[in-house]
Amino acid sequence: MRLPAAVLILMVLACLAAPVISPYSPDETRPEAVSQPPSSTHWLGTDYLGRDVLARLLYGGQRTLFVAGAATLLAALSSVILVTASLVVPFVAGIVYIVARAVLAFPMFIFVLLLLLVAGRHDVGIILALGLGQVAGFVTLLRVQAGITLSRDYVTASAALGATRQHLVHTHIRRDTWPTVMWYTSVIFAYTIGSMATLGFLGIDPQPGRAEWGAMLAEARYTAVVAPWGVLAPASAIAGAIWSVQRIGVLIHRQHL
Amino acid sequence: MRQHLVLLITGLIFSLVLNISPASVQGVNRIVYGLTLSVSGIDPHINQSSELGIVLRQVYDTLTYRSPGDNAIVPGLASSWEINEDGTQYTFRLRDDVVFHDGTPFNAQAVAANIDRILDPALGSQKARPLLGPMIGYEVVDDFTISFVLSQPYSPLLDALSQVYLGIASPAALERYASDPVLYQFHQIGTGPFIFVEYLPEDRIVLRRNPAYQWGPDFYANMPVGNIDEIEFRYFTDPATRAISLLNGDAHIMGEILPSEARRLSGSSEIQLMPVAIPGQPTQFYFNTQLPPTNRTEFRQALIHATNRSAIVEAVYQGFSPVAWGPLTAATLYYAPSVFGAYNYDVVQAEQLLTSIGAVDTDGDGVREYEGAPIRLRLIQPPWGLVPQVVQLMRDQWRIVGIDVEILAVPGFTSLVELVNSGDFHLVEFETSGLDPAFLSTRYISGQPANWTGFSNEQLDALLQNATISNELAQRASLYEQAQILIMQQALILPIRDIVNINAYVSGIEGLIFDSYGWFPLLYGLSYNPPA
Amino acid sequence: MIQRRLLYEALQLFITTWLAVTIVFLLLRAMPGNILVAQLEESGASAETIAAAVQQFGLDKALHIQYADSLLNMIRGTFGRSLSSGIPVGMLLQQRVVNSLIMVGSAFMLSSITAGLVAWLAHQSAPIYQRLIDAACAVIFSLPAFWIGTLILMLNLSTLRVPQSSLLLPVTVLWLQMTGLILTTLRQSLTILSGEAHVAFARSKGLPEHYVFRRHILPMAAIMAASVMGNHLAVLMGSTVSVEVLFGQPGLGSLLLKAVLERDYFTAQGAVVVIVLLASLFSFTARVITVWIDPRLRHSL
Repeated sequence: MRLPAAVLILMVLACLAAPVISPYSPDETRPEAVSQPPSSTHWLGTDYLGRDVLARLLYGGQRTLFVAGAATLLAALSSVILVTASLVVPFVAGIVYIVARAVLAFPMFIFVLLLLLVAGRHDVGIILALGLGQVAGFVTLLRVQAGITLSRDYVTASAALGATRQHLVHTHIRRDTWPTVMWYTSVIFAYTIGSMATLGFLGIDPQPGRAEWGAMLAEARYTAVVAPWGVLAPASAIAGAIWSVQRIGVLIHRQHL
Repeated sequence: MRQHLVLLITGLIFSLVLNISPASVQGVNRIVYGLTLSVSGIDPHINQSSELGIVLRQVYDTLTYRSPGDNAIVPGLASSWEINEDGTQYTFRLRDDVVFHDGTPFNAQAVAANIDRILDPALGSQKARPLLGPMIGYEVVDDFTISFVLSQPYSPLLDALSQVYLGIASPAALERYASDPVLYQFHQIGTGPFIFVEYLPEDRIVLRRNPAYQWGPDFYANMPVGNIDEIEFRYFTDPATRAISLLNGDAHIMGEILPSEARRLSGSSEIQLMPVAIPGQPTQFYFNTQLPPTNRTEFRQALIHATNRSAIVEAVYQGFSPVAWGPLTAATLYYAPSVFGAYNYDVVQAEQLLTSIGAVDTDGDGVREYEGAPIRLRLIQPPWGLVPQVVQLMRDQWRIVGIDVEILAVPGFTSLVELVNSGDFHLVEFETSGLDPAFLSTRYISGQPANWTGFSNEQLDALLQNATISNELAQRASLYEQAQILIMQQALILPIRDIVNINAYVSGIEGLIFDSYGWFPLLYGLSYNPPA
Repeated sequence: MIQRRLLYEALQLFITTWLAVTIVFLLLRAMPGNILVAQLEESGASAETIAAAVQQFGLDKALHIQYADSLLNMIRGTFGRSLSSGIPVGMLLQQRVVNSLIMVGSAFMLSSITAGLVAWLAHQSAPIYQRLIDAACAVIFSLPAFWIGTLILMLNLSTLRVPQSSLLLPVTVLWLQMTGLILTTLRQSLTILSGEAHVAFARSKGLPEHYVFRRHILPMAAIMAASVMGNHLAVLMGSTVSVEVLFGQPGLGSLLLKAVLERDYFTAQGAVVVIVLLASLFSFTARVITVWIDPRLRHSL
């Protein structure tokens, strides 16, 4: 079923069409109208600074989906390239895995924080930090998966028959690891969104105040009881995005089988 | 077989996890007081946080006290004092009936030992030493008389001596433990109404009532002794869950409740609110007078006019804090009411001022240009005290008059200081608290490292310096009034709100009062009688 | 053979720790300022006082000497003192290590069991229930830890009223998150493996489903789960920050975060070393389990 794809596409389109859907700016504060419930003027109500929740949701979605998507792609592509290189050129493998193992033991959150402090407050810095922070885990996972494949009898047989490393990688390993890649990419996607929210919670968000689903979640805690719509909106959006990305991954895999 | 093992382990873990909770105390009236910031250094002679003050105010007595009602300086461990003619020598007569928690008698030699420690530069005292100002030494006249010697007159001295950072510790404890400053923190022995019992760094501090306490300041005489036997201080660093913790019974008293939560709880029968005005500086932004365009007085004035502080106070602080008009809050000594209304919210006036210095929007993009460049103010924003919310509102308000803001969010104090030192900023949010406005000297006198405005003015320097030399109330009041007016005329700061600490406690708590400095509770008379 | 393997692991551990300390050392010194100087300056301390304090902590020596000192101290196991409080870093670490281990360890054990059970149940249920379980996982996943924690706090307030000082609440949050992760991993592997040739073959031989599950499917799935968890635990040792801050439980994560933000050099270095050691221990265990399940993998790991 193409339901999850439809959901995702609908989300992206809605966010891109933000100026069309909502007449409000996501940053405009209205101190006289804080924490208003949903009404005909503000379809999803206002938050604790009087900002229109729907506008923040749509414009914020642009940022969340872009940053999380870019970081996830960066992580996935880097990891696949690194692992492929390691499998084809054994020399590279040693370096990659030792460094990956070391980086992996290093607490990821601090790694991301340090990268952010160095790389700066702009979106590029955040994408780099969140994306690169996931590479070590991804690479290690793929290595295990590749290892499983390599240990299979039919692969051993194939090698005995004289198949080159490239052939093994292209034919067997790629086919076997593909579902894992798809699936773990969706996991990373979820992590990235969660990390962006946690940065806000811990008070180390490099761009505080900018509309973004995770930041909205973090800010809404202060008035959660009084204004639950400030929470429900971003939470549902995040859940919806993560669910659809995961389902798409699963369905692509099934088709591939 | 393997499954049984797994279940066994699970069971063990469960019991372990559930047992990590405080043992229930039988027959002892113990309450939990919630602190809001986890601090790792709690030596009042060395460290400067208000958290340590909240705890240790109960453990130490000071030579003088301030009476909570009228802020008058009253005798504490010193029963009387004399100041010599030129204000450079203070002679204290000490009480002779005081005993430290370890049995050591209190006397002039004990005070001397404390002063030795604080004045020693090797100690690295962050607050106690600076509070003593130009003090250079002492003279022990007899067992119960001691003179403090200053290099020049310093009127805030008596006020300094009433602060917990100059609490008098047992000389025996100092001798035994002070050589290791870390070990010393675990063995703090004073003369106060509560005894320091247990300290688990960043976890909890436990105090127990001192049954021998007879030498409190006079204002305790009118107060019934509370029925609390023990106080446990724990940390509740997440603002959004403080109210929940109170309602859940995890704490009985808590400070720094979020204004929105306080609003919600105002009608509650389970929780009582106690907002306390904190003397000192208001929530404010220092202007950097060394960087254009904030180097222009008119520009700074325009910004203040363009800020709708009433709206901010209402939206962010839910009306619990009043608008601030000057460099001191209304609860501070020598606050000058004449600064009230200094810059009211007036967008038209703001725009006139901006245009008058040539800040005009030449390219129609909604942002004014000044000296050829669009105005984009760099604002250093710390995460505490709801400042980020204030900044969001300010940014929108300034956009109306065509000024753009780049928010430099810093995660903590260290990064804030470093950014300030770089000089590349226009505004920075920071404030200190204190009852005697002597702290203005470190912040506004020319060339002081903590003078972040970079403002240099002989007249202001003279006013502030003379104000700490003069010992006459009326003269000090006049000098500080002139200083406050001058600071606001020059628009050196953008004041937002007087700081109000919203405390809350569960029903059944009685006798909770706060001292004149606002942050520190006096728990001598605290009782807890849980409603049936 | 085993000795060589262990030697290799030890070398790996050494490199990892060294790399972690070096990264923290370089990056923290590269950022300007530290909490010691900042605190003293702000309180108006004199230049001599600041200089004396700096010298006391050895921060006035040349950078490479400080680096060498740090490494030596790591080896000796003395971590120095915190710049913000003067308390020996070892003392700060002691209680926090215990807390972190209990939180992470119990959550891991509980979630492994829960996830395994739910995965097995799901495997046998109708697709509609499987989809529901997957959706529930997605929801848990999409809520960051601090939000799950806040919800639990509110829930706790209206129902159980467990005291906040017990570790039960933070463990619950971690348990939920980990269960979500392990469960998705298991579901994913199970879906893949169910369709594999050797499984179909086993089924076609008429073997009962639960036997097929235990002998053929579960081991492979467990390997994947173990690797993911091994990775994740390494991440988690530092990332319990949210839970620690929310529930006010001192742990390694919040210690490290605070130290990094304050540029409290020695605390940060000490905390990182401990976290790295524990994380390496966990991932090593994960790999041992993996090889124990399927010995053919021991060469590729």
